[in-house]
Amino acid sequence: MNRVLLIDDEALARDVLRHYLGSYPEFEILEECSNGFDAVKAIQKHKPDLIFLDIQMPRINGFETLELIEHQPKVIFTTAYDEYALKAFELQALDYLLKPFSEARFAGAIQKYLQGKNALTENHKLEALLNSSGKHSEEARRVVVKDGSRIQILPVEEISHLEAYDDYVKVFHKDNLFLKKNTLSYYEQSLDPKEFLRVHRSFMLNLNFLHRLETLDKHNVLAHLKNGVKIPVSRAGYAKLREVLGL
Amino acid sequence: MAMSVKTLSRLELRSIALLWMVICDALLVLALLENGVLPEPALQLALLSFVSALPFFYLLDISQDFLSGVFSKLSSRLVLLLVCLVLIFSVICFVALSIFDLRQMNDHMALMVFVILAQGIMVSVLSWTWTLVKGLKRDSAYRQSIEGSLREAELHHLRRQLQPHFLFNSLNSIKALLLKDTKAAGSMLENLSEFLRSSLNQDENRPVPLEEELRLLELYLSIEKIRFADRLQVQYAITDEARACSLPALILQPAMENAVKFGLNSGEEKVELQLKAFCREGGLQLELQNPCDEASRLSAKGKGFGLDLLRRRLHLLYKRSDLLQIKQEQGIFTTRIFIPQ
Repeated sequence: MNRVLLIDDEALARDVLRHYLGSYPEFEILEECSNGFDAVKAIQKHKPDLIFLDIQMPRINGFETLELIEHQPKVIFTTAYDEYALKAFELQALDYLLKPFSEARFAGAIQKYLQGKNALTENHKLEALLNSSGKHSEEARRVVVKDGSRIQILPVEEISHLEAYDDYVKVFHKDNLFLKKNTLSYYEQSLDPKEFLRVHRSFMLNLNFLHRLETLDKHNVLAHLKNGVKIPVSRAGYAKLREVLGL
Repeated sequence: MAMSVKTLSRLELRSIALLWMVICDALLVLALLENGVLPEPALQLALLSFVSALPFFYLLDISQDFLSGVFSKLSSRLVLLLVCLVLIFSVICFVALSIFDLRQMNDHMALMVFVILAQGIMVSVLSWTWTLVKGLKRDSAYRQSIEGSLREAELHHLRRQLQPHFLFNSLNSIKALLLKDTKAAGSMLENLSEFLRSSLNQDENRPVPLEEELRLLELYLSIEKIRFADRLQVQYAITDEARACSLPALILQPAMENAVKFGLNSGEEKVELQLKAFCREGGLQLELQNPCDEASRLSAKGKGFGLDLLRRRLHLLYKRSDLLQIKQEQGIFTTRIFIPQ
């Protein structure tokens, strides 16, 4: 039996999915969720094999939902508009269904799941790339983190710096530290480069928090943040800092 | 790639100019030495010819670029100082030569002046061509950027009318309704068509009575209410006086769409929207309230939430930037629009 979750904020959209899934007795719907918060809880609770995930949803969107879960089910995105296709592929989506989609198209997605295929054919990928070229995904204005069982939404303005930590990234927000399973490169791409700068292989800092730079010797520079934190700056990082600050 | 080609051609152009001068001067010196005439002043002449070419570079605003290109490690101030020193030195040389040796080297002097003039002309032509090419490139870049922003504006406008998310999600809802309630599906389809027709037919600059804009709003809300079932509720408080006022087409609907999105995004189970319209001195006041939370405001930034566009339109129409005002307090987001009559 394949265990499935339906995640969409519109009841009617879930109706369509439920109706289509009705023709596949080997699929069992465990729960339906109408927002990202509920989805995170339901995924942790049921550990489903497959989820149908809408992208634009209340509170936290589909991508943020995926960032917060440890159990990674196979994901089929369902969305009304194709501006997110590229990001969905980057996240190794099994498939990407554009609403309204036909039963045949849905059957195709199910086939992909059953065959254990991951990602799409190269043609599809290329098409998506072409479609998305010129569409810049806007910079993230918030980072969603989990604090025990609580989900917190941190405005990027309040994040002082980020630090790479094995497979995780430490996010420093006020006096708290949150761990996210992610890479610094990911944040380098998703955060506004005018605001966040990677000054070291393992550190990114929020320029608005920068208090002063201390030169220890020729190759060692230390960035002092307004909250008293000191961050090492690499040579390349120093060059970037100088450029951004116009030194 | 393009960058390096550009830098190369620029350097080449100047190198050719400099090389040409050096060759001229070298030939001159050789000629003078071979003839055996006045070897000492000849060397002075060569020096004079070389150093007097430099002021041309300087005067034609070429030296700074060129020198700072060559001596990129030195500060440009130092280079400028150097150029000035050379300039003064050349003047001194010239004066000294003309006072002491003028009669003896009359012929050579004439030749020298000719060469220096030729150098000057050559350098100015090259530099002028360079400036022209650069100017043309800048012009075409400027034109391209204007065309780009025009097209962007047009696209934005189109997107505004088509509202792809709304459109496709509505189509999907109709599909869902077809499975269980064909009558409801039919009426939703009719409403959607009517809404699309009305908003596509609107001439954005023509004022319409508030009554008409409200009808469009009703159509829009009837669709959203089907999509979000009982989550969405709208309360109206509109005075009769206000109904008779007119406003530019498609002002209220984008504001309402923003309120709906925002409200639904807040995650509240019941989303209550409030629309007030009344007249106050000199115009029509519209007030729209929706619940919101901090988190949805963060995700809303730059996500087609149409208030920025609305503000821009109002500014273009009335040349005033205070017509659209927003306020957020205690989980309520208020949009105020004032339409001068």
